[in-house]
Amino acid sequence: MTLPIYLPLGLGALLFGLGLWGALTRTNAVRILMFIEIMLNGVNLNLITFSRYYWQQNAESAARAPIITLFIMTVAAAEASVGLAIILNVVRNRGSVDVDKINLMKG
Amino acid sequence: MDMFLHSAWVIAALPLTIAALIAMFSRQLKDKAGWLGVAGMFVAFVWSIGVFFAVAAAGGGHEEAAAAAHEAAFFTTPAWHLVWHNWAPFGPYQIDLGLMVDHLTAIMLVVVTLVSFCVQLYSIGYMHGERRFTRFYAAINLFTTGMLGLVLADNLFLLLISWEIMGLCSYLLIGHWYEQEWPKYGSIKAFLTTRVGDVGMMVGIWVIFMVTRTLTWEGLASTIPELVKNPVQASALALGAFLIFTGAVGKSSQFPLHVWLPDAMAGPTPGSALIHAATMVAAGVYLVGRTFMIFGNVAPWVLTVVAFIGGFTALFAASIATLRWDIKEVLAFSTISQLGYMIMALGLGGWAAGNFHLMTHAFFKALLFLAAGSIIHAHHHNQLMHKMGGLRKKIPITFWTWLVGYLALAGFPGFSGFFSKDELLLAAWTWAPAGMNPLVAKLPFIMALLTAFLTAYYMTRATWLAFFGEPRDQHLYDHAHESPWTMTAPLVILAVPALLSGWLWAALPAEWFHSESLLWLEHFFHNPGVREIPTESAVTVTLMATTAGLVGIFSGWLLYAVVKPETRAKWIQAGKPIYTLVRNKYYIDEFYELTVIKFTQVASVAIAWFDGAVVDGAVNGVGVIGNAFADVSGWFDANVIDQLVVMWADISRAIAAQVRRISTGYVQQYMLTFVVVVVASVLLFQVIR
Repeated sequence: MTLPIYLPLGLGALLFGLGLWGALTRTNAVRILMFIEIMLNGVNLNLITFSRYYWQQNAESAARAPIITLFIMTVAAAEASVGLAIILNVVRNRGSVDVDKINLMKG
Repeated sequence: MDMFLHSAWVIAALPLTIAALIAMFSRQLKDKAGWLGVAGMFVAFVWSIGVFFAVAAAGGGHEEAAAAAHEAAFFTTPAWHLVWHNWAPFGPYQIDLGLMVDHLTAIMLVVVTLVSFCVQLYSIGYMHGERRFTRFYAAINLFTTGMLGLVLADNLFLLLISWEIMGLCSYLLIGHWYEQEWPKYGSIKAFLTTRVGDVGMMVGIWVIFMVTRTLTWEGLASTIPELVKNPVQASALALGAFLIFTGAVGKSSQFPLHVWLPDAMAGPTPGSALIHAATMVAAGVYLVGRTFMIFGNVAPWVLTVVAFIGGFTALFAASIATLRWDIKEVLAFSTISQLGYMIMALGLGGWAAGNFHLMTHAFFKALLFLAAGSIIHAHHHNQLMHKMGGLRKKIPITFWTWLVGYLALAGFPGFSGFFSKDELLLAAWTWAPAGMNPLVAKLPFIMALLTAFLTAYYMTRATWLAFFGEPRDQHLYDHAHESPWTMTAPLVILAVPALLSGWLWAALPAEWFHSESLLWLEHFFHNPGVREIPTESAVTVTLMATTAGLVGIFSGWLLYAVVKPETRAKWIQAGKPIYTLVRNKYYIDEFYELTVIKFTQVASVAIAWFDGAVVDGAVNGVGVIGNAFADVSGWFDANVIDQLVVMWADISRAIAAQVRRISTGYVQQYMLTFVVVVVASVLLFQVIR
């Protein structure tokens, strides 16, 4: 009995949607960063699911998905560290992590 | 002696150095400048004597021609030659500058340095205390350099350079007292008149060079006999020869460019003696003689023109000299006349005779000028002969030396001028070119004989008026005094060659005494290729010439010593028109005044108008057009181009004003936009597919 494919895909979509909702609605920069991590993990789950289900048909193609996943995890770690460093500097300069108050990019 | 010959360049370098020294240390030298010049010129004179004897020992033209009969005509191998090869290369051609000494140069060196030495010694007395004493000496020495360079030159180019140096010095010396009107006028007139001839000469040199591709005497002598076989090149060479002769006409003051020499008398008398009597004005004669390889080879009409211009000038100037009252002016016209003689002799093929007269004339005319200067000096700067008279007792040395010069110029037997004039007249008498009417061919002789008569007449008149009779101005007479020794010594020195130099070529005495040595100069002057002058009629010619001279002397004595002034006045009244014509120098000056000078003035006014109205108008018009164009262009730039640029800027700004509103600076808005766009794109992609 194999796990039906819609369950892991649905979980991935749920995680992505949750992350997107959080990233768009929260105003705390640290939270936004955390929601972005959730989005990324949703995508990872999606990739791993397709890889697992299509391994029988074409292993060569399916093997690419875990590699991309590993890349995403690496980039996510780097992104988290850079993002936290930026946030730390924003806090130092502005005394706040509220993104609504950070509008230097206004044209 | 060879030591002198092989360093002959020193003769020209010495006065140049001294001129430079005097010019540089004029303040320190002051009166000593004169002695420096005299000392330098004495060394140069000794050097020239050495060169002369070296050349004479090596043999003159006669022996050389015999030894090298194959050589080109009108050219004798120089005894010493120093060449600066390829001095001025241009294209495939080159100009060599060189110095050389041959027999003619050797004689000229002695003549020039001797006269220059005497003049410089004389000027110490004459110019004593004058303004710009050192400038005078610097100019005299520079001039001597020019004349020595001219006779040493081995090509037309260096000759032209020296020629122009002399022209400059002549200008400087005529205008020595430039505060006064006459010297100022005279110097400019001399410079501009000779310039007319010089331009012709320069064009002539150019023509010669274009045909022969060489300017050295040697090159010309070897190329021209071949080139004249081609009729086109022959006529070009004839033209070149004629143009070179115009240079001689200007410098040697021949008709019609003779007008400057009388006004050159405005300068200091020693300068006139050196430049406007003995040396520079003879440069034209020397030029024709030196370039005889051109004149002798081209069409005979050129030499005929030379002969007739010379003969006419001789007679013309002598007639004017008979009625002058200024003693220097008499000598000036006499110089023109004698130069005409020499030019005529060269034109008639009497090459040696012309150069012989050039030499003797240099001595006795320099002597006469210096003696005239001495008279003027003694007479408190009075130059007018009708205020003189009876001076022989007051200034005996001047009188006796003047007498030598006077008799030499008048052609009195035994004096130098007698022998050289005889040779000239013989050349004229024997002139009979093929195809010419014998009567026309005798014209130069007739003119020359008349000139001999007039010369003797006007010189007797001058001598009588100055030295004999009763004093006409008692006050001036009482204060007359003999000049210092620095002025009388040169007179005595010059009197020696003026008296004796003719015996170097005394044709008739040589025949009587069977003495070859009396014909020494004739052999020395021998130039291969020139016409042989037959000597059968020498006695006839001498008789005619001597008679003309003696009749001239007698009539001069008769008119001024015997005939009373009142009677003379009556005769003048009888011949009034001719008298007025000659007295006013045939109105040549007035003619030039009315034609050349007026024309130049009118032309310059017209050209000035043309320049102001048309040329300037055109230039200003171009400026106005440029301005107008610039205005239009500027307006277009400001109102069209700038507005276009501004318009684009406005458009961008308007667009930006709208676009910037979506750039709120809130990251989450951007993210939302991003998500919406991605989702919309995916959906759109699905729909299209």
